[in-house]
Amino acid sequence: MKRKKHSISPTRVTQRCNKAKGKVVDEEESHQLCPYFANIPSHITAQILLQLPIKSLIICRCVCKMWKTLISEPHFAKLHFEKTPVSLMIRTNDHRRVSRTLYLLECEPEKFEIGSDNHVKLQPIFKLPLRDAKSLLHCNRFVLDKNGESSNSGRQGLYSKPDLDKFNIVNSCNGLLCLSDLSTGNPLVVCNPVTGEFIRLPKATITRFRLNTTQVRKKLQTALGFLSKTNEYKVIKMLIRYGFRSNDCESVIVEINTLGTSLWRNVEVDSQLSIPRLKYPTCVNGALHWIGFEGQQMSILCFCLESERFQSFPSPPHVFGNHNNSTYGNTNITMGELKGFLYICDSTCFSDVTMWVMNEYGNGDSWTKLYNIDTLVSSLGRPNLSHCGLCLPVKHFEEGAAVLLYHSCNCFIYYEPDKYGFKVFQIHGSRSDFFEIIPHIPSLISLKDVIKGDNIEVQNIHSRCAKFKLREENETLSLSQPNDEDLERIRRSSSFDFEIINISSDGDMSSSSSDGDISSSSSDGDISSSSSDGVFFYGLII
Amino acid sequence: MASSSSNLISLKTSDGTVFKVERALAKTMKTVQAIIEEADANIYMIPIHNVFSHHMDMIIDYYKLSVAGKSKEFSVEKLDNDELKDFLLAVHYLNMEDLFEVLTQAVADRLEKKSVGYVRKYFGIENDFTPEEYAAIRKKNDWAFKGDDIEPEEDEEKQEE
Repeated sequence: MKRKKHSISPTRVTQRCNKAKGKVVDEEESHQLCPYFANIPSHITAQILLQLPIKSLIICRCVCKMWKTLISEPHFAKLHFEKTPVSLMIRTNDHRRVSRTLYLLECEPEKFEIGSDNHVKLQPIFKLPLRDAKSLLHCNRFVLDKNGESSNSGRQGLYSKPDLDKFNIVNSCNGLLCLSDLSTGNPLVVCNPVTGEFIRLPKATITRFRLNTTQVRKKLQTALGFLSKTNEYKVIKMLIRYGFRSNDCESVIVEINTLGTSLWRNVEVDSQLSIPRLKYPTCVNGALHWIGFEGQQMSILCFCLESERFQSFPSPPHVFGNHNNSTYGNTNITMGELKGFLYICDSTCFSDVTMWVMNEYGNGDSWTKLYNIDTLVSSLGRPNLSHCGLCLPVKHFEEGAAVLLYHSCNCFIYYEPDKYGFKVFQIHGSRSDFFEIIPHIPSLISLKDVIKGDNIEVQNIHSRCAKFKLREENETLSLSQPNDEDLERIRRSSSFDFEIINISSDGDMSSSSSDGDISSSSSDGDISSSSSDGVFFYGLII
Repeated sequence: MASSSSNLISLKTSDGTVFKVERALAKTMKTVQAIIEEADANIYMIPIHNVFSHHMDMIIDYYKLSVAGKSKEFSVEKLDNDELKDFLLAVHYLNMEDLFEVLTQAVADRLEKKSVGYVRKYFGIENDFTPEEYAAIRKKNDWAFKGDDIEPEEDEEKQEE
């Protein structure tokens, strides 16, 4: 085996000099064998490792056995998770595809200086488990050789049936994703995409609504939550039965499963409880919250994971109050969580994107308006378009940044007021036009440490299905930053109109593709702090 | 428990230099603080082993910057890896939380996106995985090794016996 004499070639040194955060890599370092950090106490090592981003941490896991053990410890994973900032998981959202590939985009400053000619490949890539690996293998048995490997390496891949094989991502909670059936909403799997582990949730025990299934409209609402007091994850499942002719909820059955147990337990609910259409499940402070849409009314539904009961929850009065009289019926309110704070973002008004945070959990008066972005206009054209704005925090409010998504042209905009202003990014490489972006904190938390009891088996995609390549997985996504001409072209070719309009304080409008301005006052409220603040993510998803 | 009546504490580094530092700065050094509190009489001079005068200079720099609210301006970029290690150990000995975190972050920054081989050399660690074990763990975590910004692995390293 030939041994490479020079591990770092001169050209690579230069590249790395530019990419490293100001550190100069000395060519000679590669030749020195003297250990710089031999014999430092292990808790110092642990402290250093805790400050590494997750990708580098995984690399360090391969350094030696002691480090592998250290990094795999549940306590270490938990501490590291607490320091990790929110990242974005990008997934194609085309109904024709299984879309089990997730691309992780970290909101790092360096990533946003791509330049208009470059395409940066999106990495890292994770895979979701397959819904039914056995059946997939069976369908594709002629394409696989006897080792189960795909015999056409690289180019083709296995057939999959999206309607049977695709998962819907319900929510991300504490580093884990909850996956459900796309059509029925039945929660099926909880997984950690970073470690590849997943567990299948126990089969449903609800049989009460089997009668008259064709006449009764049912919908399953589900969410994953985390209770830090007991270090338990729980999945809640609500079967809402709608009246035959009305949109109102007639009755609801609620079941809950503690991850690791093999049964769904029934949850007592008040028979008068009526559950509206729910969206944006968010877990904060040991309770799950949803925004409920009931006609023009909006409210927040709250379920306490400890007492396993629904409870009332105050909503931000100004936000929900204003829209009750809206004639559009087009409300873009979303909810999210960051560092234990509940955020609500209102992007209904085209000229205004407003963010609220609940400073004191549970205290309705503590809903505070953070800021408006009044220069960004999502003039998606006509008001009767049904688009939803998804506004979730990405960086805690002292630092301030935002991401906006226009799904019709595969673009999203990253907005960080102090540093970058608006930066538009385009996603290339997929035949799908639609993307889903999920804020997620990547973690090394192992499912094995989380589940209670031995009844449930923790599986790992790497043991079997990671190596299968589905046909649609031959693409790699990349990011680019379109320049003004590209933006113009995109705008003309897409079926929706979008513009970024800069509205200056004296009412003049001018087009521009950068330089946002945060107004420090608005007509219906005050801003709690005029320095820049919250990072949020704004997306448009059908 | 008597404490020094003046506002300055004298610290003597390993190389014999005496620094007179403000009490507030000495307070950030938990080790020193513990010595002061345990003393029955006025402490004239506190020896700090493992800490050299160039370390104290940097500590004082950091303190001044952090008092002025500019702690982000403190940089250890000019230190090479050995110097950084020594400084880190000194600060660890003195038990200074904030500066310790700054330094461990600096080390982490230097390690970020480096290859396994580089990290091993940096810490002087030997690979104790068998080739099969290493291959298995690499495969499981393959996603972390991909990317234009990651240093490529030196494959020969893991074949070492």
